[in-house]
Amino acid sequence: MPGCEGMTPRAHRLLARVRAAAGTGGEPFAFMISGGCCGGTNPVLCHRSNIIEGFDVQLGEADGIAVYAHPDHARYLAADRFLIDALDDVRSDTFSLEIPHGGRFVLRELSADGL
Amino acid sequence: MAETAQPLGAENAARRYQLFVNGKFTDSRSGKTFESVSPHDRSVVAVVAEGDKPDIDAAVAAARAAYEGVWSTTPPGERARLLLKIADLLEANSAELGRLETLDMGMPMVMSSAMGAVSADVFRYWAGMATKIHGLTGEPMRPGDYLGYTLREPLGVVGGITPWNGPLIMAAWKTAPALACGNTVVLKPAEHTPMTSLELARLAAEAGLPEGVLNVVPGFGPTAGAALASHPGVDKIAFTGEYVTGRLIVQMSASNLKTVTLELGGKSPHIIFDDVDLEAAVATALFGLYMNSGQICSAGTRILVQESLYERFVERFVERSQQVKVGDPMDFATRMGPLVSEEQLRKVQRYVEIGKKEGARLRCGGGQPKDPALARGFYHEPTVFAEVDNKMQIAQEEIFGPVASVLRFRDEDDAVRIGNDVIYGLAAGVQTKDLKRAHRLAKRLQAGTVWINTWHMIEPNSPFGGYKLSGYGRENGVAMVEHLTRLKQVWVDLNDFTMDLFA
Repeated sequence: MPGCEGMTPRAHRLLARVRAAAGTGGEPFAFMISGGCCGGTNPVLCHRSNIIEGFDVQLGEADGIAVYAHPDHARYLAADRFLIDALDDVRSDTFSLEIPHGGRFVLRELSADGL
Repeated sequence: MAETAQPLGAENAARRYQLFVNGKFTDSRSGKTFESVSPHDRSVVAVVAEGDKPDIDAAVAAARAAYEGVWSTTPPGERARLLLKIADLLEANSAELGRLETLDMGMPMVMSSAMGAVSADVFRYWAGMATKIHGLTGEPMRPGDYLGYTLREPLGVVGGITPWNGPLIMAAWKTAPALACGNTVVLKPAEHTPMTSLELARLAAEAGLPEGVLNVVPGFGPTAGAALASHPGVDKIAFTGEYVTGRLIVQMSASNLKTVTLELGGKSPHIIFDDVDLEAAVATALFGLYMNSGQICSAGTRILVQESLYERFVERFVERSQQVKVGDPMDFATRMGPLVSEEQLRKVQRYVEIGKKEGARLRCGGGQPKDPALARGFYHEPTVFAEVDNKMQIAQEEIFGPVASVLRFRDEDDAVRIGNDVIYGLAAGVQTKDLKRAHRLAKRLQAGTVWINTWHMIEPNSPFGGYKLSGYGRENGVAMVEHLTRLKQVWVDLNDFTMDLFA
């Protein structure tokens, strides 16, 4: 499946902090690729329940978390190969759940020869 | 009156900002703060209290009490007078507000120094509207003597969530109309750019706005923003931002069925026919794209040029793009400052890579400026991709930076087809001397705003909003009153007899 092919170690460390804070037995997570305006084209970490079944399109996964996009957006993202990376700059206009945990998920292009 | 912890004009030290709740500047319940960083040199320009759910709860409670206690019974004429006073204070403080805006988000002073006056106009427009909001009378359809009338009532507490790309004007859009319609407000400004929203609160208090009527709680999206969007005590959310956040807000709003208006992204087509004056067309296209470093949701980022003009247009557009004065936004000669953040810079860089990979021709820019004075900032050169196909990601996705995608079209039908083939529909523009063609396209383009031979005309009295994934609802103009009030129907029996159906 094209689209997201995993996450960088830095993103993995950030995700581990989110998971630790959420504890076990919490609501499962999902990534949704945002689109447009100030917070656009970033992976937004949300809950699985925020995904609209049968509508949103899955574009791979990262660390066991499925990555989704709006179907019209997915048409253009599907040809792309990317990783989920992280920045230390926590400021972001989205509601992405990692933001209170000292980082921010972003997309990173995967070139033809890997990283 | 409440004051910020540090006076205006402190040049080199980071300013300190608190939350503004119930008429007072206050620390967050958690005591946490976050830093606002200059995009020019990454220096810390402000340390800001970080609001979270308990702070939102307090702000909503204050807004509710102010709504029930004072604001819903404040006569429209008095609301108008207060809004006019806020407008005067915004205008009087325009220079300092502009400087703060520039420090916070890198908007060039040539633009930011006008934002106080532009925001003042928003308050003045809505001050005028406050006294013109009323219901209608109507006759019944059935026989008999009845008086029917509607009352147009405020909603109650309105939550505003703003983006970072025009902090003060966005704060004005979210507060002035809501207040004019008799609502109280809790504003959650973007975390990149909280300063001018808090200055607006200070000036509103100075104008005499009663405590609790306007509350400002900076904080992060998933904490403060989500707490506001899901709060059962909030009657409406007005949000400007991106699609997924808009959708999460709609999902959160379901609990108490609060109403939502969404102004989301865009990838606006700027359609240029071959009958235009080339210099004028290029100048308008530059203005449509590079204002605020391309960080405007209605920027003309997809430039569609008729094939007979294409080569000449691209050549001149590239020449002019290379001449754009990029630099320190504090310098009034600067026309393009930095992007707001590292995240934003990374995103633009990623799209430049994608554009090359997709086979578009990079005609200029594509990197960071060479000037060592700008090396620490989030600067990006004006960048032009030619030979862009509308199926490419750089034609479809909002880059939100100074990157033009220049496409070809054959004729009017082709321009409409390409123009509308995008998931967004915020704005569109047409440049032509053919009056009939211009108005035909205005009808056929799927966008909330269509500009003909101009760009960025966004006025307090004209509705602004999107089609498709650019959201729903309109801000500005009379249409917005519908989104900030609700109707109550009253029927009065004027007949002298009583209908006794159960006698």
